[in-house]
Amino acid sequence: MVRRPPGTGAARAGIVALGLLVVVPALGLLVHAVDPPADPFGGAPPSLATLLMAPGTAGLVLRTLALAAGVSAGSVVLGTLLAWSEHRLDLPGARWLGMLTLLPLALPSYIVAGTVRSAMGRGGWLGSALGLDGFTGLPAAVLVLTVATTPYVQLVVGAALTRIGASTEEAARTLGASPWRAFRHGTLPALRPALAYGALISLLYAASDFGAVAVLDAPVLTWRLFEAVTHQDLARATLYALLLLAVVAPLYTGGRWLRGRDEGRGASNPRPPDRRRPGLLLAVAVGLAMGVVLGVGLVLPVGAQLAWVWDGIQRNLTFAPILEPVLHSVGVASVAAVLTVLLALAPAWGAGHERSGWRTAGEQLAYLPSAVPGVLVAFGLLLAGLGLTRGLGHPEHYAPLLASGVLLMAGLALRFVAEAFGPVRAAALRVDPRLWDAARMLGAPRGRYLRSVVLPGLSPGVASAAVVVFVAVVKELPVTLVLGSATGLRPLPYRVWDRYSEALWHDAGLAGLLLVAVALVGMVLVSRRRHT
Amino acid sequence: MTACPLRIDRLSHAYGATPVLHDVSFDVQPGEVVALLGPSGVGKTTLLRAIAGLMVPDAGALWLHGERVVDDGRITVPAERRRVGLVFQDYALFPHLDVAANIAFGMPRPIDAQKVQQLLDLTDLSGLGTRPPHALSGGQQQRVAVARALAADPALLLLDEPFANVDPALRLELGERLHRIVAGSGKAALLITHDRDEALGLADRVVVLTPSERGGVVAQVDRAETVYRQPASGVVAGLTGPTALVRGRRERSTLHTKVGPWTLDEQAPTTATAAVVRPESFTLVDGDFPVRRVRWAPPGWLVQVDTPAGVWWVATDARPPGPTVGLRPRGPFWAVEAE
Repeated sequence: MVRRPPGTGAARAGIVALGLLVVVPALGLLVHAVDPPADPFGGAPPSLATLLMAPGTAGLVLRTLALAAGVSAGSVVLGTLLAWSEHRLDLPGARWLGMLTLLPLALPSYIVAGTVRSAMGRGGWLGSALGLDGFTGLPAAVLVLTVATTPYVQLVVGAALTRIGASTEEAARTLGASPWRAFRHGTLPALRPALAYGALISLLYAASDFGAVAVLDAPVLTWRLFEAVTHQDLARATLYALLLLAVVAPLYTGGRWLRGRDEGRGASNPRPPDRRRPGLLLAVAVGLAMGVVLGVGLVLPVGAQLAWVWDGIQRNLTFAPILEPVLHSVGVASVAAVLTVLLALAPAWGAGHERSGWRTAGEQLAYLPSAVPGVLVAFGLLLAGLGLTRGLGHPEHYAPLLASGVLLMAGLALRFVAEAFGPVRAAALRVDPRLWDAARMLGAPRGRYLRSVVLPGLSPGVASAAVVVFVAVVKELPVTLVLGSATGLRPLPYRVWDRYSEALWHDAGLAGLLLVAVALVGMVLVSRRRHT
Repeated sequence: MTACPLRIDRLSHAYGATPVLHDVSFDVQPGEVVALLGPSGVGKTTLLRAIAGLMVPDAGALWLHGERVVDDGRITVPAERRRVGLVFQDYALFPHLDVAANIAFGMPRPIDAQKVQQLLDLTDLSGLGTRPPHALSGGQQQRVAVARALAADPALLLLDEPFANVDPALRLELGERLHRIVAGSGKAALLITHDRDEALGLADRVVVLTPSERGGVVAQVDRAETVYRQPASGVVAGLTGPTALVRGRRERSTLHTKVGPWTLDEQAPTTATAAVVRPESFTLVDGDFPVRRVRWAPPGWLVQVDTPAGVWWVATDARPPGPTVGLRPRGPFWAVEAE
């Protein structure tokens, strides 16, 4: 009988556990949709069909789709311009600026939204200059989320451009084609999958976002779902959750399919085209794109936090109240990072050491929760907790369950297991399965193999994953709000949210600055690890 | 009088501090097929891109069909207006267009469907006009690339390593077909290659580029047979076929070598003291030179002979009968300067 490598049993058990955890919020939502509890006064809750047909529901879905479409269109245009300038144009400082325009990726969308709302609102310095009486709702959300998603498109299109060689475009030029015709026939056909993939991930991001749409009061599904939860209108919240799922599920599926098509394209070692100087129109367009992304996505939020902190110092405000949120953030993020990495270990190990069925199951389960909006994951866990305590005949245990933080940790682990999966998987793939055969031939016991070979091999990936998840949890908002409020924990995002809700922008300055600092430092750390 | 399709005068280029080409000069006459032969990295692709207008050389001048297109670091005519048909090494077909649309891409509008059909027939692609490029074999894709380049009615055809991606078994057939197509079109052509058989077999004239400290330089420009039989240097001899250079003491038209006196070709330079030995330079006779190896090279044999002047491969019709042989020169030897 062939002995399986050590860790196989544990890895398979871990994949099953991950699968069960992934199913929990979906089950909670499904059970609640099928068998909703009566309201506190004994009345039957309104049916989903009734709520679906209610005026306003269709408009809510359409506005969500309009938001997603507007963001997708904007980010594809801006992201393609920035990728083109970074990889194909001969512009002074283009490569350096191309790296800067990726930084808005790191900043939480609610921070950017808060600074835009403050700057362009009544009395805001930009609003006054532009003659605006406020800037909220869908247009503001489109602007903020376009800036947030443009770096994704820039990365995807940029990667495609490095794979597309010069020869088809040069062939078109030698056949007398104008620069636009040479691009249209020489490069665009190979770029289409990347553009489509970039458009889809922008659609998914925009439809799933909570922080920016909440701060800007954009009337879309994620924000209305949260409002229904806080008003304990679970029936309405269930409907919005199902509608949100119906919107994001096809986007996620389409994105996975397109990603496979995009990654397969391109010649091996293609000769890169010579960089060309842009014409005036293209140079202006690139400049505007950089201005919008850097201005709204980096300069404005960072500048605003600094200005608000400086204002606080000028007014001799004490910053002691920030200590508690900092401690809560560090505590929550540390525990969540450990749990999430442990959860990711099994599918990540399976990626390199299991047969294709287990491997595929592990990968799919690791990536699936990341496609679901955070507020939806949190709501599903909320309903699961409610259903569990009801089902066990102890509904009074629901509040303590919520207060214990178990659901919060489960929510954070599900949200970020995909982030941990990547680095741990990369490390697991580097542990050659043949080393177990070599260890057996040398008579080494399983324990020694695990201690001396597997653990050292996995540790760089585990460390990277822990850093990535720590930073992500520190910035996270929807799960923290929905599942963390009852615990009494008030981490930094909660403080920012609380102050933004009252339009007390200045009071959120230090918390916002700390979040921005963590985000940017985290991004630098992660990208350095990727390059070593 | 028809203008010369291509004339290059003292073209030089460097990539940063690395010289690539130095003082390259040659021309291509109407209806002529010229091969640009040289080892990898000698600057052939750089030269081709300069001719096509895809890069600007640092120095020198370039005329296409009598019109000056490059003048000392300045492009006067861009790539789109040069009427140069470029057949890329990887063919660079437009994957989203079918064969006919690829061919018609550079033609003036409205497209002359009859001309497209003529080109399909000329390149043995009849009936394949509606196929996408990925559904074609490598040889067919190459012919589409040639037809596309011809369709734009270029003054000059540039072919970049046309057989690099083709099976060796198909090269001969495709080479003959390509030569027929180019000759049939009446266009002048410049063929870039590192393969001597392609260069010598397909071209009317050969331009040999050899590496130097200052970049690739033109070592010889001549008819293919002349470049083979009368190479300008030992490096050119090595590029054009299997070669051994045998040094000796020159006494008028006799070279005294370690294996005896050899008669040299009267046209060999008077300062040349190294004879160019090719496999066909000798016939085998009885003798005392040990045979190291015998290899079947259809339709004959290659025999590796150990002589006091070196170890050489000799081509012969029959397998040598014994372990030793003698060598009789078939005729006068060409000689080059010893390096």
